[in-house]
Amino acid sequence: MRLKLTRLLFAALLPLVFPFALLAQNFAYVTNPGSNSISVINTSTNTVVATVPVGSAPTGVAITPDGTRAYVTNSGSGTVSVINTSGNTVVATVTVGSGPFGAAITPDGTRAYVTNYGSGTISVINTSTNTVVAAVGLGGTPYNVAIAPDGTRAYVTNFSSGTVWVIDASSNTVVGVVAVGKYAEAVAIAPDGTRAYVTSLKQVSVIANSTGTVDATVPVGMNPSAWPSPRTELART
Amino acid sequence: MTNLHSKSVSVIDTASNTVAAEVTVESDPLGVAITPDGTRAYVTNKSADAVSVIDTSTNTVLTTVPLGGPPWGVAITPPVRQHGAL
Repeated sequence: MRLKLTRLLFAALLPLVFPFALLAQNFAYVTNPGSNSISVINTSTNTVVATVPVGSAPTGVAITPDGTRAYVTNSGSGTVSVINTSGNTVVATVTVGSGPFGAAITPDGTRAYVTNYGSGTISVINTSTNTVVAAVGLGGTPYNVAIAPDGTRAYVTNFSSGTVWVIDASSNTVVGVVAVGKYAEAVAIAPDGTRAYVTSLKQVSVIANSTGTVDATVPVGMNPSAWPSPRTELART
Repeated sequence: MTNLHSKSVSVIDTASNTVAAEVTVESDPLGVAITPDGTRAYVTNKSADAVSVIDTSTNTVLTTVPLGGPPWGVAITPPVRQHGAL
């Protein structure tokens, strides 16, 4: 009896002693366009812990700042699947444009920006209702999107013209176009918001966000091909 | 940054805007995401049906996670602190 009580007491006190030890888990959500699914990897054990069926040819994925939802672009079906990350089930499917490819969530978690390369638009989704609240016609080939840490600007690459659209996130209008390099593909913003890094054929362009001009170009080694762009992500340190 | 078709990931020093390291991964690296604490990079390898996990302090591959098919994009959940434990 005493042993049982001790065990119970220990079990009850364990969360007090290690309050965050059990909570420091992160999960990587990986899109599988060939199998129309998402693999969820536990980054502590580096094993696949769940496979979530989504729409056709999923490519992009973005996770809300509170970690509760993953937004997945289904490039083959013109939709976005919204996954509840606690149960790893699809809780909503949002119809967007043709060829949704990239996705980003605003820092406050209220909006998801989706690029539609087939229709030359971006769709802005209200994440509380999971409805499209704005569709912005851009033309060209909107490919990937990143949002400034202060939430005021969205940066969208135009793959077909080698440029970046700078979009005011409050009015969802284009306020600038920056020439980078051929096949502009991925974009990431520095955590302090001062620079945008854009990958294109054999190079990375560094945009000074205050002036909207390219202030450095970094050559990177790779073989030319039909799909040549490197991709980018900034470490948050 | 991943270099599709060259089996490598370039690490750029953002202070000097130069390539600080090249990490060899699997075939056709495509997507990349960094853990919130900055210690790991997860890279999707489109033609190897796998994800490479890079230690960002040493810029070496720690492990490779096999998948059932070719992966594309990747995103990592932020640290979620559930309240009530204390």
